[in-house]
Amino acid sequence: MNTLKYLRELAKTDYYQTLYNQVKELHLKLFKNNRDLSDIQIRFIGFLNFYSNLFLDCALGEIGDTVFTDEIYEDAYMYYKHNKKEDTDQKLPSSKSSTSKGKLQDNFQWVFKRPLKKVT
Amino acid sequence: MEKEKNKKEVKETKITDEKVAKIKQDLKKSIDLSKIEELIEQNTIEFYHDGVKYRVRRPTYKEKQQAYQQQVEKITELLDNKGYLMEDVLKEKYKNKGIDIDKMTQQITALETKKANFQLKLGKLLKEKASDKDLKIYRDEIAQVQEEQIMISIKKTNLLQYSVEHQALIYVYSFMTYLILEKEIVKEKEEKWIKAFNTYEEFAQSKEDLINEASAKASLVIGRV
Repeated sequence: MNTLKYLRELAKTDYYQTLYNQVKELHLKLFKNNRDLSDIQIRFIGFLNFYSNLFLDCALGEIGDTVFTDEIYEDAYMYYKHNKKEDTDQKLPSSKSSTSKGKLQDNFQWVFKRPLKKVT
Repeated sequence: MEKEKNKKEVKETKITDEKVAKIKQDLKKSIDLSKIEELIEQNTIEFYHDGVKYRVRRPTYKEKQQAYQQQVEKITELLDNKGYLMEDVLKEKYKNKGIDIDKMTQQITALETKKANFQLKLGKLLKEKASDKDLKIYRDEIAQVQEEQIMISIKKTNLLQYSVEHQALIYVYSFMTYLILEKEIVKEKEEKWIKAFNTYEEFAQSKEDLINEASAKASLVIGRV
């Protein structure tokens, strides 16, 4: 029995995806126990979140249905998405530094413009 | 004419061996899925063996502590036994025989990086909605890398299975299985779950196929130790 494969299949179903969304919004119970989750329950929640994101991207037209035809496609897309996000996040501070206070004020003075001091 | 028509209908509705196999496969999958469902919702798996209903359930904190205590005792016992070596010593012995286990670990890591690179490329192609033909190229590359990783990993595990660390781990899983294995009894028309075996020795001497089935199911409930 390939447990991980079955966990993924269950997490992908409409039933568990709906339940997962309801759990988040209405604080319903997903498991019999609420705390002290087992390893397999934590993995299952991970897959629920994984597929929730994947379905959302599909609904938003970010990606086609083809992704669901193979687990390798699903993993590859999510890995790409995550790392692309990391790349963007890494670029953000550097772009921030390039638009440091001085430069930002040079280009967008109207944003930070203070009334000029009167020269007496 | 009517006869021929009926014959044709019978032919069309006749279930082929292929269909039977498919139905059986779907049924098995459905049973397996419901078992996994039961496991994630309740942290228990029930099964029948020789007409007796058994179950494995998630170990309690106390049981885990008991198992760890046993693990410590087992390690001490194995260390006194000259037949077993620590993992590092065993690795060194293998190295002298031309088998480099650290190199195997490096190979697994290198394959992981290779896989990550393919995933980035495949992910980008999926985002760009590339053709199935293009997707398949990277899909097959990733599948091959995964297969290589598994092969090396199995080889590594087999080589190290007689180390003190591995033996102690096997023992702790086995001991935990004994702790969490229960059987159902009916007492005064009421169903009750009791411990399947009173002692670990009794469990270890029971039927091998029961131990194997219980261990396989217990590993799902126990998770990582």
